[in-house]
Amino acid sequence: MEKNDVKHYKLFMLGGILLIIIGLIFPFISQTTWFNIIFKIRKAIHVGDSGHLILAAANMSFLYAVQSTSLFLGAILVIYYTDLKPTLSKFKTSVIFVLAIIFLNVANSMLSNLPWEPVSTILALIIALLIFEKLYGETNSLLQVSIVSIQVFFAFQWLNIMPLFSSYYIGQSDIPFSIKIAGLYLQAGSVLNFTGFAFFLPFIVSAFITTTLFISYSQNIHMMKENYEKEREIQNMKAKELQSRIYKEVNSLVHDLKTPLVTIRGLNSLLAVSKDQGKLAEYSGRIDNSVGKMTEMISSFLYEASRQKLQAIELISYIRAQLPLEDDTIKFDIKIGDSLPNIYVNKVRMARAVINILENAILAPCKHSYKYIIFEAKSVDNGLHLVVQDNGTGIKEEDFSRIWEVGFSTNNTSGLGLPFAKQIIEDNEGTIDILSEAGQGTVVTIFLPSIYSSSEVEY
Amino acid sequence: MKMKSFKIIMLIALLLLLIVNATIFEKKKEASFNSLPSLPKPIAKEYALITSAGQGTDAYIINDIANKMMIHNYFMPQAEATNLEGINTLVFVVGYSPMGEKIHNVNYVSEKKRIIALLEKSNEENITVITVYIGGKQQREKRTEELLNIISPETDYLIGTKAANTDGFLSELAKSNRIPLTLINGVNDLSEPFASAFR
Repeated sequence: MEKNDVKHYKLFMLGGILLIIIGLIFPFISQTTWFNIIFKIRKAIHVGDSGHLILAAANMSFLYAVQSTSLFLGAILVIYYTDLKPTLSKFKTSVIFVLAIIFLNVANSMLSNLPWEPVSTILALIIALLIFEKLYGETNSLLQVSIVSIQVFFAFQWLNIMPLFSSYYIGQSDIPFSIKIAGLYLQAGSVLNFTGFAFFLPFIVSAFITTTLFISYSQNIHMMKENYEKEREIQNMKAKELQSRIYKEVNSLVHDLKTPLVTIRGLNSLLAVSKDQGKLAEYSGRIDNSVGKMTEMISSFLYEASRQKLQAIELISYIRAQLPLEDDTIKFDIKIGDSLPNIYVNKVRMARAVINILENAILAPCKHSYKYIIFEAKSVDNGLHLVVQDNGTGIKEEDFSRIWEVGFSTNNTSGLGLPFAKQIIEDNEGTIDILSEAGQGTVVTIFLPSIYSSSEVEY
Repeated sequence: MKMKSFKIIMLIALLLLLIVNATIFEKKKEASFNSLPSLPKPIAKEYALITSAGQGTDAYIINDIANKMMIHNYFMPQAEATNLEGINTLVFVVGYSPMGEKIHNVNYVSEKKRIIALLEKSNEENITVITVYIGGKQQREKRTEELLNIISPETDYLIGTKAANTDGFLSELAKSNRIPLTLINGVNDLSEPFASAFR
């Protein structure tokens, strides 16, 4: 147990002892009110008005309820926060608890000379204990337990004034019996029975409803916290995935930068030995061209919105260079159509988007002996179609509507690939469509507008 | 049917059973005793002094009955022997009440002394003593029984409830002290036997 927990436990123990003391001295503090109850009974007999008896009963029930609740909560805190509880079973703890409360009530009765009502108090105690077990276990709130307990004890005290239950040894002590005998003398036995029920039933029902509400409120809060935690986890996961994606992009960029660099290096070594003035100009021009390509690549990476005018074949070649073609179980069929249009896109990012789609096709579960993926580029009206087709198991109908959701995945991936690809394609004025049939495979069609139909192109 | 609904129905059925049983139980108890309805001839004269033995609120009921029956009386829950001047009948309403004693700032010992002094004086003055106990068996605890035992030997007429005599305590008391006893069903049957002592 941590130091803070020990402090916490000691504080609750102290609170429990304080509540027991309040319960024990309560009859002395409230003595005047108890006297008033007797005066009300006398007045009722004298003036023949049973209304005074009901007032007396209400006062008595309230005083008994406050006293019983203090003792109940005090005993609960002391027993709950001692070292005793973890060593005993739930049943044994409850028995010890009931015995402790009975002892406290008897002690209180002897100290204050105020008789207690064993039957109704023990019945209320059992109900309050059952409610406590459920409520405190769920909400851990002493205030909520107090609100419910006082309702239960108040409800059961009303049984004491009902002549109907006298046979069950309920309401046999000094004050409740005086109220009942005065009520019977005033021919108000039925009134007392009715009043008893009229207070007992609503309060006991209210106690159960309040408990249910408190529990469901607590469960909702708990669920909200859990959802919040899950949301945070998803955010963390997304951030990690984003980092990994950036890393991948940087990797591919660095890889691509090697090609013009090798060209520059080779040309530079030729420059050193070449004496032909005409060749020098040609080499210098080609070096300049390579530097231009490198600048273009770096810009594509650094500025998401930047787009370049390029031939579709350039994009295809760039994608091809990054495809993992070493796996023998995967057969790639790359079909490139004739006279592909020029397009206006961010090459690096668009290539990543298409590779994401191709990676999905690679990872898709497959029932065949090998995975067959067709990557086709063809010219269509006003643009270019990039089609990725696989022979996997396809997407189930119930999952189809969720494929664009961030974090949704059926094969334990991050679930970010498809939304990421869609975002980039749309940023580049393109569209993406998916057709899938369970057991038949999936066809993804990406449309990119040709340079002549693109709205933002600058000539 | 869901378990929860079943439990609620069972609980309501149990509650109804308890209510029905309570009514039957009361009737059974009433039927098992034969009581003497009232005295055949009066034994007491007015003025009566009504006092409490134990400071219970029951004394206020007897006072109300006496007033309604137009029996001239003085009502002094804490009457002393000196208050018996001019009194022909002393009515003790027995019932120990801790709260009643607290209100009057007396304790059980002083209450007992007061009662003994009253009994001695009434014996000297030849005053008729009527003892009334309207509590049940549950209320007839140790101190109330002691008070009844103290008062009964000097009592001329004992009125008690049937509920208080389920173990024969009151009938035994009447028998050993040779006093007439009336057992009533409840507090509402008290007027007739009480009045029969005077008229």
